[in-house]
Amino acid sequence: MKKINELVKYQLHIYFKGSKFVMPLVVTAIFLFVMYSSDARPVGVVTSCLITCNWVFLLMVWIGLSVSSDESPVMEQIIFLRVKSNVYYYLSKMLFLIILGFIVNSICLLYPIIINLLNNGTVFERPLTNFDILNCLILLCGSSVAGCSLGSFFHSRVMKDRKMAIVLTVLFATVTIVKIPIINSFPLIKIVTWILPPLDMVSRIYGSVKIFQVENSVKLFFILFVYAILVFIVKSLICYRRKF
Amino acid sequence: MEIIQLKNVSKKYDGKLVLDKIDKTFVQGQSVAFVGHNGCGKSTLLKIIAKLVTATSGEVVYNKPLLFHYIPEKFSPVSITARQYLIHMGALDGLGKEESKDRIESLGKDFFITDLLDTAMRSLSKGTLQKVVVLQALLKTPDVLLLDEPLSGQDMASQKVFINKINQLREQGVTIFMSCHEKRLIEAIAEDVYTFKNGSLTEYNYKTQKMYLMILENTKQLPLMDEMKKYGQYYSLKIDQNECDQMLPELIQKGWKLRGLYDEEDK
Repeated sequence: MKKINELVKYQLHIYFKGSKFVMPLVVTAIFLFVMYSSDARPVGVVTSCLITCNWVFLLMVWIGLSVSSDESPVMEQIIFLRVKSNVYYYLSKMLFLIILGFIVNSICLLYPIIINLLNNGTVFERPLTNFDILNCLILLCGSSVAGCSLGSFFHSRVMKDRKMAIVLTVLFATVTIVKIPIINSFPLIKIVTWILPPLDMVSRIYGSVKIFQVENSVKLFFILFVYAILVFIVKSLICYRRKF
Repeated sequence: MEIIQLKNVSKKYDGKLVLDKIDKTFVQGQSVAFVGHNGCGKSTLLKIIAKLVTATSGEVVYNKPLLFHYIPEKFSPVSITARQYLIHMGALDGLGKEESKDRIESLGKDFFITDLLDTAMRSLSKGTLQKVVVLQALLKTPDVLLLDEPLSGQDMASQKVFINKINQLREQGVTIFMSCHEKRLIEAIAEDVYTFKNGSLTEYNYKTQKMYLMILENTKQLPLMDEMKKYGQYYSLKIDQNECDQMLPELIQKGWKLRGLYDEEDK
């Protein structure tokens, strides 16, 4: 456990000392500013949460992709030999991305809460409750984990052709977001799209309601989390088998 | 004590056989160098030994769990300082923060980079970066040390320190595997030297007759010998080792001044 802790600390240190986090942060700031600007108010509580879930998903795909593209095989080899455990090594990679996701979720959740407080509760269509915040946090966590699992999947050891890795990641992320209209137009495409993150389930369940239900939120989180874990496991197994 | 066994290890890259059924046992404290032209399989074999690369067929067996440390030829710097990087590596080795700091300070001093430890790794020169890589491998004594062209870019003084440190590790029973072109380093560290012939591992023997290059200064306008060639402001003389022992005192007695003496293959 200590080694996993040290590995995560090391990865966080390198990530935040670099500049990779600046662009996602700036873009998120712009997104939040526009989303909750006075022109857009009042916004629906559930609707804004759904939009933020999709945003967090895309952002985490971006972060996951940039993290996995930035990894140097030599640095990985040095660490891999020290840690001596495949499980520890790949688990730490997953935890690192989950922590980044949690930071993104916190920013995306805290900003509207603060803005709402500063504007005497006029940002949303109805008063924001702790129950709404809890449900939104659960959904954001599920979306961010699914996003980083997809973004980090095409690691350089899974796909050496980096251009192709970027193209496929962007394609899969885009199709995930617009899965519902695509399936409505071409129902047969379901045969293929089941492999993508089940983010569409969030929209299917909460797309036409105004109130959260904690059972649904937990169920959605569980589905997205299990999906993400499976993707991480598949990626780790491919990396493990291919080595360097 | 036997620690690593290669059983019929073969490796193919893009259909080309690089290593062919290598059967070899290595013992604790052994120091092995692999030499040969680029692409002959030296680095691949090092990585197969550490299980960083999977053999196409055959297997690598350890007699106990082994801690490997690795000094690669090329290293991509990260966005933190050398000291921060080394502290992280120390923590992964299980060293305490204070222990790590002391060790980094002492190794930094040995390798003349104390002043550069707090510089961002991305701003360090290739040679200094290579020293940081060496430092990370020496923080904790490993069971096996893998060296892949470890001296690339290092100054002479650091090379000497490096050789001493590696030989100290050998005395402590650390097994060394090295992929290297530099004869001087191989002579100073390795006890067994192997090369690759059609993918098989074969023992490598250096030529028994060594050639040396003498660099001489002619301060007294002495007549030149036929074999002497202009070498900057000095003269060079290529000579075999037996002749060298005999001729050097004679030349100095005549009035020549010795300005350098190099192994011809290393020059």
